[in-house]
Amino acid sequence: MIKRLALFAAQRCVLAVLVVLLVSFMTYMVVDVTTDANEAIAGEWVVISHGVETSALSGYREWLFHAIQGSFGESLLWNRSVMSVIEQHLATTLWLTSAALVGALLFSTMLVMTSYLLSNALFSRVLIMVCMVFHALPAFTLGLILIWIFSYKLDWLPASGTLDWHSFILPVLALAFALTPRLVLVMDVTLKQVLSAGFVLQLRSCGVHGWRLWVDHIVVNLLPALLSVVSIQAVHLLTGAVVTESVFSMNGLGRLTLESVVSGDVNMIVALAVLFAVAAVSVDLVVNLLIFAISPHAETRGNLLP
Amino acid sequence: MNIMLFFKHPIAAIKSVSTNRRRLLGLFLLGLLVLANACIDPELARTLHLNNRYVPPIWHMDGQWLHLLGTDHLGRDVLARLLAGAKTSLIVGVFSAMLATTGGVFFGVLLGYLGGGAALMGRFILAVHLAMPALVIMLLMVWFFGDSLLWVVCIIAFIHLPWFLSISQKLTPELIAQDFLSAAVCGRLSIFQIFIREVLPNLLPVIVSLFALEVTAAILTEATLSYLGVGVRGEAASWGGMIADAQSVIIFRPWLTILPALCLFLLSISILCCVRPQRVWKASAL
Repeated sequence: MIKRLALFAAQRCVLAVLVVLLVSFMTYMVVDVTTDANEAIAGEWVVISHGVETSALSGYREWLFHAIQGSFGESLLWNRSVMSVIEQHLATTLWLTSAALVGALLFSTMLVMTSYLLSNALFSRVLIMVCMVFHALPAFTLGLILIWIFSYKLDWLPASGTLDWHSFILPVLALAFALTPRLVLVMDVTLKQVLSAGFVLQLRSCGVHGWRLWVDHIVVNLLPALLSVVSIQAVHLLTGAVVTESVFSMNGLGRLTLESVVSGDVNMIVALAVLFAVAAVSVDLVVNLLIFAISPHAETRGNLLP
Repeated sequence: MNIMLFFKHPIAAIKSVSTNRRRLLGLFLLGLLVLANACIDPELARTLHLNNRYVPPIWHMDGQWLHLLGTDHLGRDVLARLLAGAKTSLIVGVFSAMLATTGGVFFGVLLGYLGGGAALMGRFILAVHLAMPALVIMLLMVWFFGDSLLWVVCIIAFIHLPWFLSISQKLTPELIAQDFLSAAVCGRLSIFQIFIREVLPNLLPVIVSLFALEVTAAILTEATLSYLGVGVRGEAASWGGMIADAQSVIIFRPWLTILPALCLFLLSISILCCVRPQRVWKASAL
């Protein structure tokens, strides 16, 4: 068991490193091609003064060499090292996304369990309908609606900024609301699949019910699917953070990304893309190890080796 | 609804659609949108009247009959821009979904059919796809390589393609294990014929649901891109861009924000209405 777990972990780590390398390579290439195009506009001095390599491959090799040592170069926009700027913006995004993820998870679990416990056809149909409606709303519209209601009409909460925890309430709500429908729909389908499986019927007929059935059998079978959904949502969260932070003008990584893309801050863009990829990959790694620990035979999503 | 019914018994299929109220509503809204689009002059969405800015909509006291839904910050007619935005959204949604579905299903079935190393490659593509900061890549590509409609369509399709690839790759081995496929192989059908006659019809229900989901996803992605200021710009109007323009005056002129948001919402709901929702969620949970 331990040996298999170690092998599995090693496989996942290799995959993670490969994915991060590929993402960094792709981003670097895109940026490099475009800086060549911008060179013609901005003139030679940008290239000379900021040391942007002209040959893409050797440039990438050099970038990788520095990146492994932890230096991602200077930001053209901030005139500081990229890492210090990212550190400055990291906390906001971390708080925003983690609070939204926890909130969305709690909320959707509550909804799905209520729908199951009531076992009311009308309630579950309405729930699915409402989820569909929210699914059809883009995240930024949700944020604007929240600003309109809570900041303007009711004047309860600030509409923008990151001063104290008050200003985090609306963005977290917007992000969590954008996430909840997907979670509810997937949880609903998974729960129904597990509950309709043969083993549940057999256990019930053997007299196992209530907490023991749920904790010992159903949750164990439910968790792998749920965890993999969570790991996928982690990537969506970053996307959501870009939008939510722009709507609420928060100084987070998402808005930093948008600003650096718009102003052509090449080093920052590559560093951010790598950072996002590392975040996604490490969440995926942890989740897959957890799934493996819970049920070694569960099929994991995005698993490289069978 | 069985998709194959449309090809075999079209009249029965149309009857089954017309008795389903939800689907009828969705199709009606879509049809209305396309019809209104065909009727309106596209020049209207582009003409500026700088001395006629921020005319309120008709239900307002100062509303004008000339501009039913008012004008925006450059004096352009909002109704005309909404319709032009519908055109942009529909083009982006339908074409990028078509590209992503065709490419994804083709390569997915191929990889699933080949198995072994090819399946490994499919898994790797999925892993990269899941780890890729999609919005960052999209922002980069749109911002640097231009913002023409065609390019936005291609990028959204490219970013969403692995999703179709992985799902059809996952479904194919289950299909191949079935008896009727062995029968088809014994019947000396070519691989192409097997794909068209046996594999595709069995994948179609899932693909159609995914297609609808992808159309809405692409529309919302395009709106998000233009909201962030990196989407379709210039001549073509886009709902996301309209919302971004109107955001600064949301307190005094909320309709400028609400109307495009409502349109976006109605369009995606009416597309989702056309397919069976349970099937869509089952497919998206795959």
